[in-house]
Amino acid sequence: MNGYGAVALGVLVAGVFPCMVGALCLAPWLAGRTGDRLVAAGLMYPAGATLISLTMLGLGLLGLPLDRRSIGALALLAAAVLGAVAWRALVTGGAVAGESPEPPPSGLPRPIAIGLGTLVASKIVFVFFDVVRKPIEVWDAFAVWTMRAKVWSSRQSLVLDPADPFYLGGGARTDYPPHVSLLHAWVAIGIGEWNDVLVNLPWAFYYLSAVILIYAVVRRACSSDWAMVGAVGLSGLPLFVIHATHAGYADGILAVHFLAVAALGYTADCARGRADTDRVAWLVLWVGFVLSLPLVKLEGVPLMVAGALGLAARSSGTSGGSAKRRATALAAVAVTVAVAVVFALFNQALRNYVASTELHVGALRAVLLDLFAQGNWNILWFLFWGLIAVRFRSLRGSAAGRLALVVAAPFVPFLYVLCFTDAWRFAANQTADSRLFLAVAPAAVLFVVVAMAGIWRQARRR
Amino acid sequence: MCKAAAEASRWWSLLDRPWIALAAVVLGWSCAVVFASAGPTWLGAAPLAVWDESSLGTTWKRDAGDRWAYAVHAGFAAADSPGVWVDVEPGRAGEVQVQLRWRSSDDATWQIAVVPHHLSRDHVFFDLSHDPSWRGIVRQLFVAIVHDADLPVRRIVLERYGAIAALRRALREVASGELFGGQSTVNVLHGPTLLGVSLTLWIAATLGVLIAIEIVAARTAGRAIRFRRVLLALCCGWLVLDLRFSVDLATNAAADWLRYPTLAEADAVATFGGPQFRAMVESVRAHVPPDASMAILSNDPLHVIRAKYLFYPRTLVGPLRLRNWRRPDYIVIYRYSALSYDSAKGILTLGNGRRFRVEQVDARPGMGLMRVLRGLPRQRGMKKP
Repeated sequence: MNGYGAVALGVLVAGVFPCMVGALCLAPWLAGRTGDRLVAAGLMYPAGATLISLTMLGLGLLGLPLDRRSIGALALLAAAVLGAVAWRALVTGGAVAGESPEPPPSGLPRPIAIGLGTLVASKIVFVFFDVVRKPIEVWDAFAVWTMRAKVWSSRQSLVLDPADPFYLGGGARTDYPPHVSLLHAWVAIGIGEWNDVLVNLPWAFYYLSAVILIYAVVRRACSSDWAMVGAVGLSGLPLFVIHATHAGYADGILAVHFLAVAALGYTADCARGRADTDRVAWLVLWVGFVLSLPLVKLEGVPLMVAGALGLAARSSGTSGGSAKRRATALAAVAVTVAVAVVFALFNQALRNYVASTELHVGALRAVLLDLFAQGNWNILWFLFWGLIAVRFRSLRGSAAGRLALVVAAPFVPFLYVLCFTDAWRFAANQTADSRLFLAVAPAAVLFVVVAMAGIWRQARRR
Repeated sequence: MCKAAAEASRWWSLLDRPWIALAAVVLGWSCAVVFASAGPTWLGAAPLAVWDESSLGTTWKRDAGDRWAYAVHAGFAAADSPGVWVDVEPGRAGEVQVQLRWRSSDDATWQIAVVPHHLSRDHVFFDLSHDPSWRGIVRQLFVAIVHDADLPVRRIVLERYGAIAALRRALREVASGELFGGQSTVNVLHGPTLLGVSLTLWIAATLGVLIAIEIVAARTAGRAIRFRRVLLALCCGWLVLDLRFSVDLATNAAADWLRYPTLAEADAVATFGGPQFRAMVESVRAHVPPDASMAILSNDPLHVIRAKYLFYPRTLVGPLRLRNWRRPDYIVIYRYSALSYDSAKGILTLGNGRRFRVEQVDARPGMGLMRVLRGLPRQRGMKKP
C-alpha cells in the first residue's frame, strides 16, 4: 500500500480517529467559550491517543485480541462515558463558562501577522510532508519502541507468555512504558498492515497539537499577538521539530504531554472568578495528563512531581480560595506524588544507577554546552533563565512564577542523574542530555512568551 | 583627529538600529565564510601531526571484517590536543559512521568515539577535549568507517590547542558546509565554533551587545520604551536563528526527499548501513520462510537488533554471545569470521565448538546464508563459552 490513498488512510487512522476520541472526552470544554474551545482543540489529539493506548493496554492485559473494531469501539465508548461524566459534573454544575469577553485586538501590523502565520503554517506543512516520506530511521525506535509495536500489531496481542521469543514485544528493553509502542501498533492495526512510514504519523499530529495548544493558552491568558509569538517559537524549536520529522523517539511526545500539564496548570491558575471557566474544570484535565506522563517515558515520573509542585505552590499561596478547591488541589498533588513514588521505586529497581557525591565536571560541561552553545534550542534557555533572573521578584506568587517553577523543577533530578550518578557518561558523550531537556523545552517556551507578554503589558501601562 | 572621531561616532550611532546591527553580524559571518574558503593552512599554527595516505597504515579488523586505518608511530600527549580530524574522500561519507579508537599509556583498554549520524561532509572532527578517556600518551590511534569494508580515509590530523587552531577549525567547519550538516535526534546542530565558542553563543552574545546598545541609546526614551525595544531585539534574534535552522532543515529534507521520492512506500531497510547489509536482509527475506527460526552471527550487536526488526516475523534464536542456542532452521553469517566452514562436507563449526551440517542457500560479499540440516556433536578441544 502506498501513494496518496495510503497517506489518506494513515491520516484517518493515526490522526482523525484519535481526535474524535479526544473530542468526545473533551466535549464540555469544546462546548465552552472560544478560548476554551481552542485549548481543548490542542488537547484533543494527546487525549485521544492516550485513551486509545489505555484501551489497547486493557485489552492486551485481559488477553483479548487487539483488533481494529474492538479498539475503536471501546475507545469511543470510554471517551463517551468520560465526556458524559465530565459534562454532567462541569457543564450542568456551571463550571464551564458559556460566554466570553472578546480577546484583545491584535496590535501587530497586518503584513507582520501574515508573515508569522505563514512561517508557522509552512513549518507544520513541512513536518507532515517529511513524515509521510521517510521510514523509521532512529536507533531507539528499532531497539525499543517500534520492534514491540511491530510484534504487537502483527500478533494482535501484547505477547504475555514469557516462553515466547517475542515476549512483551521482544525489543531490546521490554520494561519501557507502552504508550509510544501502542500508538505505533494502533496505526498498523488501523490501516491493516505494517508500514514503515505511516506508523510515524502520530509524531506529526503531536507536533501540530503542541503548536495549537501553546497558541490557545497564550491567546487566552495574554493576547493573540503573543499567542502568535508562542506558535512561532514552538513550531521552530529545532530539536522539537527534528523529533517530529525523525519520528520514533518518545521524547517529543513526552514533551507535548508535559506542555499540556504545564499549560493546564497555568490556565487553572489564571481562571478569573465566576465569569470564567472554573479552576476545577482545568484541574480535572490536569490530573489526566499528569497521570499519562509515566505511560510515555520513565522520565515522566520527575515531570509528574514537577507538575504537582506547581499545584502545591498554588494551593499554599491561595488565601481567598475555598476549602473545597484547596482540598481538590491537594488531593491531586497527593495522588500525583504517590504514583510518582511507586513508579520511581520500580524504575530504580530496573535501572540501578549508582549515585555518588562526586560531581562529574565533564558531564556538567557537556550539559551547559548543550543548553547554551548548540543549535538545539535557539536562544530558549538564555531567555528562560534570563527572564527568571530579571523578573524574579515579580514572578513570586504569580501564575507565571508557578509556571516557571514547574518547568525549572525537573532540572534538579535531571542534573542530579546526569552529574552525580554513573549515568554521567550519557551526558558527557551528549547522547542523552538533549533529549532529556527536550521534555521541558515546549513548556519553557510557554513560560518565556507569557513572561515577555507580562513585561510588554507593564511597559505599556507606564 | 576630531573629525575622525566624529566620523567614527556617526558610524557607531548606526548600531542604535537593531536591523543594521543584525545585518552587520550576518555580513561578518559571510565574510568569514569567504575568508575561510581561501584555505586554512596559511593561517599558521600547524597541527601537531598529520598522517596522510603515504604515512597511514591500514589493517583489517579480524572479526567484523571492517577495514581500519591507523596512525603510524602515534605517540603524543593527549593533553596537547583537543581532538582529531579525519578526512575522507568527498562524497563517500553520506551514510556511514566514522569511528575513532585509541589506547593510551594510562589505560590499556581501547577507547571509542563515534560520529554517529548522517555524516554528510568529507571530514569529521572528534572533539575529545572533555572526554575523560583522552589522557596520557596516546600510543595507538585507529579510524574505521564502520559497516563498510571499503575505507575512504585520506588523512588523520592531530589538532592542537590554541586560538589560531580554534579559529582555523571554526572557519573550516563553516567553509565546508557544517551549517548545512547532518541532523540527528541527539543534537540537531553541533554548530561551527569560533575560538571555541559556538555560533549560537556568538549570536546570543551579539544580541546581548545589541540590547545593551539599545538600552544605552534609548536612555532618554524612558524605561518602558527600552523594555519594549529589548523584547523586539530578542524576537528578532530568535527569528535570525530560526532562519538558520530553517535553511538547515530544508537542505536536509531535500536530501531525504531525493532518497525517498514516493509517499508512504519506503522500507526501513533503506535507512541502514551500506549496500552489504541491505543485500543481506533482502537475501533473508527472499530465502527464509516467515515461520522459520534463524540465528544471525555478527560481531556488531547493532546489526543483530536491526536485523531482528527487519527479519520479523522470522524468529531470531539465541542471544548475541551464542550461549544456550537451540538449533535454528537457518543461520545467516554477516561479517563474522570466528568460524570455519567445510564446503565439501557442508559442516559449519563455530568458535565455541558447536557444529552443524548445513546447506548453503546464498553467498554474497560479507555474508552467507545457510539452512541447518542437523546439529552435530561439539568439536573436541573447544571450550564451552
